[in-house]
This record gives sequence, structure tokens and C-alpha cells, in this order.
Amino acid sequence: MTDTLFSFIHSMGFYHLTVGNLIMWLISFVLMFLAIRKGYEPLLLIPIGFGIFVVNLPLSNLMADHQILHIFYHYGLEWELIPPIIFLGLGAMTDFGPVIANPKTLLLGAAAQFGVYIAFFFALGLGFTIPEACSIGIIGGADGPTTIFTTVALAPHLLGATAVAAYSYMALVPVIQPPIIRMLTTKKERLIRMKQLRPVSKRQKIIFPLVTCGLVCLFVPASAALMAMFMLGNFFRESGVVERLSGAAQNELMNIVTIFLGIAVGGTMSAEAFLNPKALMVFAMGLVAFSFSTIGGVLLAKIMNIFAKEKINPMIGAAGVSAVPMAARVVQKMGAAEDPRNFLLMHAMGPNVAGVIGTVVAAGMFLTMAH
Amino acid sequence: MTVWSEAIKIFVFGFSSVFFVLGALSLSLVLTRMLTGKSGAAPKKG
Repeated sequence: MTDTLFSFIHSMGFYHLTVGNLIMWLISFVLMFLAIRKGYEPLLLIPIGFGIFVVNLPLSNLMADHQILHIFYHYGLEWELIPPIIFLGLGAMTDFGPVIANPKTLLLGAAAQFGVYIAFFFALGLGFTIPEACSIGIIGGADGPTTIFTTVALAPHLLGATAVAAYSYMALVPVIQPPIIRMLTTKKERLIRMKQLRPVSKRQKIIFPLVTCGLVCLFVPASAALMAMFMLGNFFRESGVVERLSGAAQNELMNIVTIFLGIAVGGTMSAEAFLNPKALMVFAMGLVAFSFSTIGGVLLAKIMNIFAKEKINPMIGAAGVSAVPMAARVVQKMGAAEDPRNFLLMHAMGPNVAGVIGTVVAAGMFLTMAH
Repeated sequence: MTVWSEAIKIFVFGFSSVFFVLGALSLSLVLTRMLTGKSGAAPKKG
């Protein structure tokens, strides 16, 4: 009788709870709280938070072979299926008009990858290997799917930490960027008004995804999976004849894979895998990456102003970190705070979407050189 | 030392590629606009 009672108690998850599990529950509750109460990236933080919670229920074994979370992880992430599908949806949602109207904003998107490489060097200095440092650096691109795509290929054991760091810092862009922008710009620069963007023809919008896809995939073939899907989504949108496909990519498909992505990422964050100094260092490096990416974008905008006839407001350089459209909204808000009649949103959307392309290229180069 | 020389190579090739690709894209946009006859220019008023 006593033996039966003991084995019954032993078969319960309660008996196997560890302090690590409790800490991970706490982390999951914080993420879910931020999503629900503060509205920070709820579409991702809710499934990620819930994934963390359930994977840390002892004996549930949801990440064991052939169990539900492992199936999502294996087929969705290890097979590198979900990030390109998310890019398909993002492409269908993105209007490249501001970039086409003002092509030099593409360079701001490139400069904002500066933080990727700074964090890469910092991570190496802290003893991470080159593939690990690449996965950490790419957090600075502020692009969740690209971070996941790169980490799965180069350092899958860091997936939970890099993905959560990327999405957490993306949610914190309104907190991280303004002090850096203020530090690097004068009031006079923040007051610069930019000329209204020219309208862009439908023909140019249709040609853009084809040219971009061709160019980027020819230069950096390793980025083809993400770039091809991104531009296919945009081609759906701009062609104007496949609204059903464009709608499906933006809505149904995107929503479904977002659920799988979130819960699979959360599933990688068991206490054993996550509670170690490396994960904490990944978080610290993520902040370094975001900060230096902001610095890179703003500084290039200031340098361009030295040579340009028509001045650009250097704050839009900060939108080159690709957290779309959060970073552009931050610039708009800061511009309006200085001058309520200064509308920078569309100008900031240029570097913002250019940053997505820049991050994909940076990731492709990492995959080519560090794999 | 090997790790750092490898890292510097990744930085130089990686960061310059980002600029090169986006610069080329920027140039192609300007060319596309020229080839399409500035059809996106703002319509004349009045």
C-alpha cells in the first residue's frame, strides 16, 4: 500500500518540480504579463510565454521526440519552414513605396546593421564561438524570423535565448531608442522637415520585388529562402490580381505559423537549457546590438547630410533597425514632440523596410561564412 | 588569433556586402525610374 502511494506520488509532476522550473514559470508569466498588460508583441509573447510554461511542467515531456512541441520545432524550425513563411506574410503586408520614392534610405537600412557586427565582436570577446556570435549578433537586426533562421542553422542550442531577446527588445524599441537618438542629434537636426515623398507608380512597385529578389539572391544566395518568400509576398500584394493569395499570406497563413513559431520557441526554453550564464549574456548582447544599430543608422544619416543638398532628418536613420513599424513610429513620435507639424512616419518607413532587407543580407553572409 | 582573424574577415565581407547589395539596389531603383520614364512623378496641378 505504501509502495503504491509512493509510486503514485512519484508519478506526479509536483514531485519533480525544481527551482529552475519555478524560475522559468516566473519568466513565462512576465512575458505573458507584458503582452497582455502592456501590449508588447502579444502575438509572439503569448505563445512563447505559454510554451515556456508548459515545457517546464515536469514529466510533461512535450519536447521529447514525437511529442507535440518537438514536432512543431522539428518540422517548423529545424526544417527552416516557418521563418520563410512568416516572411511571405510580411512581404504581403509591406509597402515599399517609401523606399522606391527615396532610394538613399536603403543605405540607412544598411548602416543600421552596425550593431549586428558590434554584438558579434562582443560575443566573441565573451568566449562564444563564431557561429554562436553570429546568432547573437543578428539580434541587432531586430528581425525575429531572421534571428530564428540564423540561429537554427548556426547555434540551435541558443534558439530560445536569441529569439526571446530579439522579440523582447523589439517590443522595447520605444524605450531603448529615444535616449540614444537624443544623445546623437541636436535640436536643430531633430527639427529638420523633409520634402513630401513623390508618388510611386504601380509599375515601379511591381518591378521592385522582382529586381530586389534577383539582385539579393544573386549576390548572397544563402539569403534566398527568406528573400524569395519576402518578395513573393510583396509581389502578390503589388500585382493586384491575387488578392486572395495576398490576404491568405497576410492573415490565415501568418496567424497559423505565428502560433507554431511561438510555441516551438517557448518549447526550447526548458530550465536546463535556459538557466545558464550564456543565456544571460545573450540578453546583454542583444541590448548592445540594438543600441549600436540605432547609432549606426543615425550617424550615417548625419554623414549623408554633410554632402546632401536636401537635408534628411537624422532621426530616420534610427528606423533602420527593422522592427517594423515600431522603430518608424518612434521617430514619428519624437519628431512630433519637437514640432507637431513635422510628419516623419513615411520618411522613416524607408529605412525601416530597408533594414529588413539589410538584416537578411547580413544573415546570408553569416550563413555563408560561418556555417 | 585564428578566431579573431576569421571574425575580422566576416565583419569586413559581411558589412561591406550589406552596403554593396543595398547600394546596388538603390542604384537599380534609380535606373528603373529612369527606364520607366519617371512615370511615378507627381501629376501636374491644374
